[in-house]
Amino acid sequence: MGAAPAHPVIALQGACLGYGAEPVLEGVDLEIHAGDFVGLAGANGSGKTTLLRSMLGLLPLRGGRVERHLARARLGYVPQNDSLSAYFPLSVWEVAAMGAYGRLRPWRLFPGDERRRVDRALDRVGLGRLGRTVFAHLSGGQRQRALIARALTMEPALLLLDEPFSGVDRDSKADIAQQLVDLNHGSRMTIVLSSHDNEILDRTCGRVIRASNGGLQEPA
Amino acid sequence: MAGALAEILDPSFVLFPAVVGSIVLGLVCPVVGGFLVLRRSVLLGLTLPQLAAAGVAFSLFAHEVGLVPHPGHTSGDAHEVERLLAYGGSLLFTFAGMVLLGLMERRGAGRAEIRLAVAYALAGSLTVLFVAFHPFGDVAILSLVKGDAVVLSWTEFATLGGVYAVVMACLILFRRELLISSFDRDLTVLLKGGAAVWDLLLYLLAGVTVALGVIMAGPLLTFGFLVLPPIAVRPLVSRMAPYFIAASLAGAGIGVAGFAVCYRFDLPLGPTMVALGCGLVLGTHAVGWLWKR
Repeated sequence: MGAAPAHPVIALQGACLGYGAEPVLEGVDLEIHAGDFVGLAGANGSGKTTLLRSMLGLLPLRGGRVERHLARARLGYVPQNDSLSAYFPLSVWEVAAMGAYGRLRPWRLFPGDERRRVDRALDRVGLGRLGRTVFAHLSGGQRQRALIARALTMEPALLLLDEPFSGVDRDSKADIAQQLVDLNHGSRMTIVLSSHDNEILDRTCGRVIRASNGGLQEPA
Repeated sequence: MAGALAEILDPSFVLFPAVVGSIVLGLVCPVVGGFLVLRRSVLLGLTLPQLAAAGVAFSLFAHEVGLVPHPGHTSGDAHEVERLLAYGGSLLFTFAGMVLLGLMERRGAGRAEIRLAVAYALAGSLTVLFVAFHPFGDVAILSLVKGDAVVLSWTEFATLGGVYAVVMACLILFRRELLISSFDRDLTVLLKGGAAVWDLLLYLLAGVTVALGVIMAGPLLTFGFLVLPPIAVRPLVSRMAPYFIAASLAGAGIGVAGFAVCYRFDLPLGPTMVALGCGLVLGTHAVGWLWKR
């Protein structure tokens, strides 16, 4: 028997989550521990994005409490693919480099060690040779990997991904899932992954939680 | 045309300060406008100059009817006071409008484009009405409201250059923060603690740029310099730094070419430059379309 983990990385207790007058999720009790790989299943509109945004601190709780035992800058976030404008003239490298912005003061140029960190993150997701490609010209799967590279550049302790498989072909889904498994096993990175693809969650994640009927259910 | 170009770029040319002023407007406005275009806030770029013009018209009207003190006794003093009032009115209306629009957005009052369209229509009508109510609403007043880069003096150029240098320095210094707050607000919260402060900075810079630009060049040309160059270069670039550099150079190019065309064919400055900018937009989008095919 190993020792029980000390503090969870993030814990929600009796949390009520939502945007407007109606709560989306109520009575949410959830603990994410270091090294966990948690899948968040549920239909569209079931509250998966709401939960992720509340965990990140992007959405204030309507009730209950959230405890985060890590700095906000150690939270890596991969948003839904279609939430970002394709009109920006950004290369893949520039998108990945945004992950380093939190460590750079305004007057600093982009230092060499940060450049290498961006290069490594792109290599890790298999986009090392596409750094100069226009971000908006990538396929859905490649775009997701570029956003994962951006999150990796942040050097996160906890990586949260919102529907990374939506609009992605079957092969790319498998590639992305394998890369996440490698990050979790190889780097002991804590990962929370939302998707409505139950099959891939069951295959990839150590633990799957389902959002439905305004609450969270976790199989015993 | 080459002769006209050589003539206007000669420092001894009588309108040389205005030529340099046009170049400075063309260099700086597209960088501010580039962010508005990327954020899909082009209508804001249209509305702010019109608000500034209404502010200029209001300040001159208020001055003439005695709501603000009268100037000194010489005509030179009067001109100087009118200019100062124009700056004050332009800044006041631009920032008051931005604050009101911002408050309405926070309260979720209607759709953004509707708010901006109404503000634009209101500002446009107020501009004309303030000029109409002006007891001596003559050509000179109308010229100040419309803006006229041709009459830019070295003193006015110094003001424009100094303020725009500060604006440009801020845009360069905070380029990363302005980029992520425009591209991904959630990431800005995680990395920089929030996006509101960077929105405020961008709108502050946009307000100052527009308020000053409208007095120097009028609402039409200011709007043209803000949005046409960044829209024109967008199909030709695929990275951020080249986008802003190309937009800035395109703006300066429109300034020089527009001045040369106006000088050669005796045309009005603002409409000519805006027409050139629109031509550039059509040309680059045609090239971009052909390139993709």
